Amino acid sequence: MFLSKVTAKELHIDYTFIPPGMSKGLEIRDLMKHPRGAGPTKLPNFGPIPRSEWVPRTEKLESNGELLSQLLDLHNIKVKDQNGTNYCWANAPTHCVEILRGVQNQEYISLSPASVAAIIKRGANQGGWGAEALEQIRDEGIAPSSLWSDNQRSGWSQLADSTKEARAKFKVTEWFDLPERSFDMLFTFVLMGIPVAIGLNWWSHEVTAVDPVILPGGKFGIRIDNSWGTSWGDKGRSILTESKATPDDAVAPGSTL
Amino acid sequence: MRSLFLLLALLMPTVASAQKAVIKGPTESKPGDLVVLDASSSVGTKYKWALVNSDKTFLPVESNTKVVFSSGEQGSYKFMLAVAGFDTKNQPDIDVAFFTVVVGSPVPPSPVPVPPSPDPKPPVPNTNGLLVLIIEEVGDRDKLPPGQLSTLKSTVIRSYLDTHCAKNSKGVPEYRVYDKDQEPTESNFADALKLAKSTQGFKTPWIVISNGQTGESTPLPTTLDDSLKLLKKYGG
Repeated sequence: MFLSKVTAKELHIDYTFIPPGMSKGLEIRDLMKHPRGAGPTKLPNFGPIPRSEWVPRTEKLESNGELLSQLLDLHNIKVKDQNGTNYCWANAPTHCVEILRGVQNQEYISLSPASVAAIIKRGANQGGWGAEALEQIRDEGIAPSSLWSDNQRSGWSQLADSTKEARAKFKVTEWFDLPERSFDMLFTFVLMGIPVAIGLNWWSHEVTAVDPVILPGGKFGIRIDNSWGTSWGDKGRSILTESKATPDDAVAPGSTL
Repeated sequence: MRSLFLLLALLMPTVASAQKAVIKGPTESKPGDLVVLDASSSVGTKYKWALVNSDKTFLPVESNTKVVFSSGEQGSYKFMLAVAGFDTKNQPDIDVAFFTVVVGSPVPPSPVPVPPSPDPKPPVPNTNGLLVLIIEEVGDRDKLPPGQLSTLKSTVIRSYLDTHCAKNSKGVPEYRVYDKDQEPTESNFADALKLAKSTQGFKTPWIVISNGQTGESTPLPTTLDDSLKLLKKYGG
């Protein structure tokens, strides 16, 4: 029976513990404002891959070096660090864009979650949800971190003006909205190599799902990239079991500029 | 078609033809327009029509002396009319005429899907080495054969491309995996995408490959090994 390669650091995480200086910030998605499959998102035109195929497909991905985490390591794309901001909901979609650009082999450019969230929240350190961020990313794009520091909220208005052109080069034109609380669709997306920004109400946190994982006892899990820097978990990554990874909200990028 | 050629073969070794196949009609039309081809001035007793370069259907009318045809697809549609009868010595006789109707653009692609073949010229200009563009539809990944899905993500393929592709001014290897709706900002990949979309039979997943001397715009091979072979054919 195949089991995914996971490290102890990825598995043994105390999810009740928030590292000093870190924050979360997920709010429950307002479906009146952002109904699923409408506005900036569309529903996937395919259904979940049957569970009977998950183990052989995951084994093949891992043995062929086709997991997103392997690709990210190859391209040296690091996890984000939201520091003390409540911008997890912008960090995960922004990281998805970085990953998608990596999959497309575009030049690696670190992108600033604050350039998305601070504009929406007018500089306030407030929580939100993924669809809010991706609407901004679709409409105005994301600034490179070199022009707008990842967590900079001060001077957001001037930065918004000065980075307008630069941000327009980093838009996502197509986003998928996954069905609510569908672990099967989440697993399907990562099996297909599409990163997913997942909102987890139990954690009040949004993170990026990157890999399918096969765990002992015939259980399934998801490898995530958190946005708490590389010192958390194993270089910023951990494994969530099915019950923990089942997303209350989940959005995935389809194509970028 | 087969029965028509059989008929022709049986009837060809005849004396000088007294039958006459004549087709009259418009040589050009717009997509979707009705085209009537008229063979009523032909001489003969039996009329047989065929559209020789397309699977599209047409409607013979008025005892086969006319056909009605319409196509929504641009293309050059070549009709053949065989008229059979008996000559003055009561011998079987036949005459054949061809008539081409161009629907849409005057230089249309053939309406018959032709498998793309290697282009002897570099398909993408301004390449100083190996350039590869793979085009996919992200929402269709679930429909791809495992080998094609592997090619999109495989670190084996990427390691090869990292080491064999030309590098742009920022040192990034010149390969990209883009959604078909992507709007590439780099002109060489925008050109490559344009080329792919204009290649006969284009559908995702697709690959455009050029080494500056020669290249190909073709469907993405269905296995990882075949994809690697194709890359090595141009990248060494």
